[in-house]
Amino acid sequence: MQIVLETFHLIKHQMIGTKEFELIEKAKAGDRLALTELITKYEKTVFSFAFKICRNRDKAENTMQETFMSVLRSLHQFDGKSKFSTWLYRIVVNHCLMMARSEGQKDRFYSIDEEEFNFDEPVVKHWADLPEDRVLSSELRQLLDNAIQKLPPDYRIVFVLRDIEGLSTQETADTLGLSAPAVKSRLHRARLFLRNELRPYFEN
Amino acid sequence: MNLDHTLKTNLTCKEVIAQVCEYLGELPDSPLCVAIQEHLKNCDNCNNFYDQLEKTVKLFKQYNTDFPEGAHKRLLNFLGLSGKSDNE
Repeated sequence: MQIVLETFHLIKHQMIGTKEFELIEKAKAGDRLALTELITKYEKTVFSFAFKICRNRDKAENTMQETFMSVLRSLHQFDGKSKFSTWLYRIVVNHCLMMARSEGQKDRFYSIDEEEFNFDEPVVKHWADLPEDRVLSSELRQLLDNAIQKLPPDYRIVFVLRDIEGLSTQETADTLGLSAPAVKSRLHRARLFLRNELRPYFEN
Repeated sequence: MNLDHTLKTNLTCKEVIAQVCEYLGELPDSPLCVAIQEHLKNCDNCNNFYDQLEKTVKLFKQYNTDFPEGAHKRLLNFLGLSGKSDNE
């Protein structure tokens, strides 16, 4: 029994890193400084991810606050089987989906569930190279905001987790409770949809 | 679209467009991705399409926003943890 327990703790340490594991354990035990350190470590990640989903700074900050409130309430349930960041992403996703539902956003999204992508472009143009600097023009930022906000949240979240946050297909699937093929399918449709939205900017 | 990747290595443009995201994914050495890569080398249209998808993803990656001023303090206040941070 002792060996099993030791192996279990060893795996948990390897999964989430010793320092972070200790921090989480202290926070679970009610250590407010450890909890604050944990929040400080992840607040920017949570805000940035929430912003990429809801495209609004106020809503992103609100989502960040609600996410960490949920963390406070349910940290004792975190078992270390997944990365702490994956667990956090899951909470942010739940808050974003709840917010979208409460705002009755459904009608504003394009339906791409049933839409089969029919590729009928005889000539695919070459798009100009992107600017080297990382500052995007306000026109381009507006275009990106408009494009991604048309995507239903289920697709948007997959796109952001996989392509922007850099999670693997399996990590994304685990975070969202989807199968890997479902993640791949949503990602493919999301990418194609967004590419089509950007076409007029690059081709006109 | 189901393809037997062990048998089929010459893909049509339609097949490449339908599955190009596999190549823009995490298994570049898989038989399907190798077949897509071969096709892209010889097809300007599909190569441009792949390039457009890459640029689309890159643009969204580039789009970031700063962490709001005072957000850390507001967060700790919201959580009832004010005055306990070494960073404040």
